Amino acid sequence: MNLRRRFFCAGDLNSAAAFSAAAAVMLLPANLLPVITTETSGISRTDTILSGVVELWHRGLRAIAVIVFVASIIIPFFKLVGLAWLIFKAHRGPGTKARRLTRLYAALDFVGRWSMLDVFLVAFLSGVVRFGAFSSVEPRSGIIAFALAVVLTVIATHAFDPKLLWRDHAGTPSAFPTHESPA
Amino acid sequence: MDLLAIWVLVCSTLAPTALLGLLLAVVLPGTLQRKTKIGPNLIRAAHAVAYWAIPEVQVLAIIVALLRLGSVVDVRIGAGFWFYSGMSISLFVAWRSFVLRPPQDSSAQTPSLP
Repeated sequence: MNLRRRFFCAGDLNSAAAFSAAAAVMLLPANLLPVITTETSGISRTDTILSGVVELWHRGLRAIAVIVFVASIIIPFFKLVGLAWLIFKAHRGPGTKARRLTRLYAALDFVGRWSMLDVFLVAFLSGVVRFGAFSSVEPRSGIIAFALAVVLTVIATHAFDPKLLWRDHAGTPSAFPTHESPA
Repeated sequence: MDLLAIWVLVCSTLAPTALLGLLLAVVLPGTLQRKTKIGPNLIRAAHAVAYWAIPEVQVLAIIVALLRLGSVVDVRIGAGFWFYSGMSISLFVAWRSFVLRPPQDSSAQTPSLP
C-alpha cells in the first residue's frame, strides 16, 4: 500500500522491529502499573490488568474474566511473539512457508484491535460510574501505557510489509507461488 | 485522563464516521469512473482510517462493563446501545466485503497475470 511506502521505507524491516520493541517495552508498565481504582461504599481498591481479571473470576463473572484475559494479556503477548517471528523469517529471506506466514500476518492484523477492549472498558466505567459517595471509578496511569502498547503493536503490524515473506530484499519474487510445480 | 477520553472518541466515533463517509463516497456511482485520482485517494484514506475505526470493540467493552455493573446495580439498556451495535456490525460487514471484493476501477489497468 502506498501509505506504508510513504511513512515507512519499503522493504525495510527496521520500522516494524523498532515499533515491536517499543510495544514490548511499553507492555511492562502496562501490566505492572495499576489501571483502575474502584471505590464502593468507602472501600477503595486498585487493580492492575491481571488482578482485575482475577477479581472478575472470583466474583463469578468467569466468561467476562476469560474475554478480558484473552483480549488484554494473551492477544498482545502472542501478537508481539508472532510479529517477532514474522520479522525474523522475513529477515532470513523468502521461504517455502510464505503462504502460511501471510495467513499468520492477516490473523495478527485482525485480532490486534481487540486488545483495545480493556482501554474502552476502563474509559466507559470511569465515565458511567458516578454514584456520589456510594461508588466511583478512576482510571490510572497503567491504562495509558497499555493503550500506547496496543497502538504501537498496531503500527508495527502496519509497518511490516508481508510482501517481504514472498520476495527477497532486492524485490525478486523467488518464492512465488510455492504450491505450483515447475513445468 | 483527557488523553484516554480523546482516544476513545477517535476510535469509537470519529474514525467510524469518517470510514462510513469515505466508503459512501467511494461506492457512489461515478467516483471510480472519473479520470482524476479522487477514487484511489479515497480508498487509501479509508484504509488508513480503518485501522482506528473499532466500534465493535467498544460494543464488546460496553457489554462487559454492563455485565460487571449488573452484578452491583440495576442496569437497563437504552435504544442508543442497539443503534450503535447495529451501526458497528453493518460497518464491520461493509468494510470486510469492501476489502475482500474491492470495486473495479474501470480507468485503471487490470494487472495481468504472468
